[in-house]
Amino acid sequence: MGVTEALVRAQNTALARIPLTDLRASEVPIELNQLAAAAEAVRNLLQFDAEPADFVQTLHALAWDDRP
Amino acid sequence: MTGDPALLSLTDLAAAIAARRTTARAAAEACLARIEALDGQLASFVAVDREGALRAADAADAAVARGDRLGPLHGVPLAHKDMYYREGDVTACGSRIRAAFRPPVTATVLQRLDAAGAITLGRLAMVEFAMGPHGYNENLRQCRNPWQLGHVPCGSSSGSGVAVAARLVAGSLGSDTGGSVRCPASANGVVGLLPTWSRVSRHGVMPMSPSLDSVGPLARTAADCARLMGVIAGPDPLDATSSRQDVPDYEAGLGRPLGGVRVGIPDGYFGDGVAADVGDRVAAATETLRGLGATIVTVATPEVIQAAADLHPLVMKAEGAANHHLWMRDAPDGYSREVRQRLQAGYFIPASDYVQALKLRGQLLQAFADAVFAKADVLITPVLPRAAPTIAETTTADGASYLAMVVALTRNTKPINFLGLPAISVPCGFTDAGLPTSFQLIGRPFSEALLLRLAHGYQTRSDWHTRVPLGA
Repeated sequence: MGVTEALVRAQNTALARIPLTDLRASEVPIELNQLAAAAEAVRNLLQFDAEPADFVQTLHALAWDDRP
Repeated sequence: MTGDPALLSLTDLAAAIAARRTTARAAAEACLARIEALDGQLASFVAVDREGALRAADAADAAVARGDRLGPLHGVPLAHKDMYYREGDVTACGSRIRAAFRPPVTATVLQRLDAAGAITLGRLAMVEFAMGPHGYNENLRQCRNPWQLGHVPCGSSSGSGVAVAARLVAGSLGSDTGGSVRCPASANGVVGLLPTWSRVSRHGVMPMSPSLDSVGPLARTAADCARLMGVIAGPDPLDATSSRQDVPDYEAGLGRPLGGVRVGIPDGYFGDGVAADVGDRVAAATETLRGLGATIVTVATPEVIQAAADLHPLVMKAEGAANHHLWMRDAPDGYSREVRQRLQAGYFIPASDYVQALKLRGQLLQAFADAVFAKADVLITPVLPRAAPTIAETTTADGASYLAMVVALTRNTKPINFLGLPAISVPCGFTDAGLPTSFQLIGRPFSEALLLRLAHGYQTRSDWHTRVPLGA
């Protein structure tokens, strides 16, 4: 099923309320379905206890050490 | 006295001013003369502050005459992407919406450059609100690639790449959310550094996508970028996301031998769609690094790189949409059609997918590091898989081919932003069409010193960075 033009129009009317031409209302679902597929592809990797700030901790834990 | 100061590298110019072989005024006048002569066709500047620059240069020369302690950029002419706030001065962000915006604060990075003695010549062209990799902005005169005027300079830090390449300034700050420092650096034949996310303060810098945005320098040499990084890097109490990680002396290690450094050639992802001439130049550069003592190894690119590439636009669009929501409702005609369209999808991304992408980021980074950095200290890849497009390709292409071009330009850069890793773009020759091309080195978090050292080593064995477009 995926994201449809009708869904985008309904969401826009109810929530986003941005100007959207008919052409763009038909094009945006294509982009959204690509993004949804990207999210779906990694859904099974998600760990319940993870949180966004883990990224910063990982970044520092992996820091390059130049000491000889 | 030395020759034309505008043709000196940033570090050579700073040394010449400090040693009184030239003056800050001579340097500023030389750059201003080149701007006057060349920027009519290049359109890299959106505003030039001639009087202010000369006034600052005279003050810098007076400080030299007094024997004052000089900063590392004393008297050096710079200009930056038009998204760095200076209190009370217009910062337009390449837009009509902010054409008269006068910010109430000065960016921390500008304060640090000022304190180091830099002279600001003006503000540089950029893609509207930094949304696009090609360098086209319908709000501005067409910024042009100085190597071939019919081609784009790439972006979104388009003016930064052009002004540094054409010797209009000695260095510049860009910003990089998906490749916006590295792509124009590559397209214009200069060095561009994406620091580790959080390495450089973003206080007083226009947000595009805060989870992905990094401030980075563009200059002609790795040594120049090292000098700029030494000034701008480090924690900032005004940016809660800025890292407290120690800042090394980026210049001190530049000349260290490269023996034992492992340079990984990744298979798969980064080579897909790469033009033969670009691939050949990067392969030759890899051999140069081998000749400098680096160990070249092959590395299997982990599958998480595709996930990082696919999730990058999800985060970028969601955050960009949030930034612009009020203006998108109240002043949609203030945007160009292209940027308005680029923002639209972001309003319909489920919040749960956005949060999931952020939750996965650390996990994907760990998986990438486990697979790559156990075998190599850095990866080498092309920056742009092809030569910079023509202006016509960016302005007349239809929807499908335009989207394909945009995706191709950032294919090798955007996943690195998602992973938060540092990367450097280093010129390594010219395509068959005569446009610059570059390799990208990707390192562990906070390995900017290693990336700069490798780039510097390469530049001791190559002369691409000494070539000047437009015949002088």
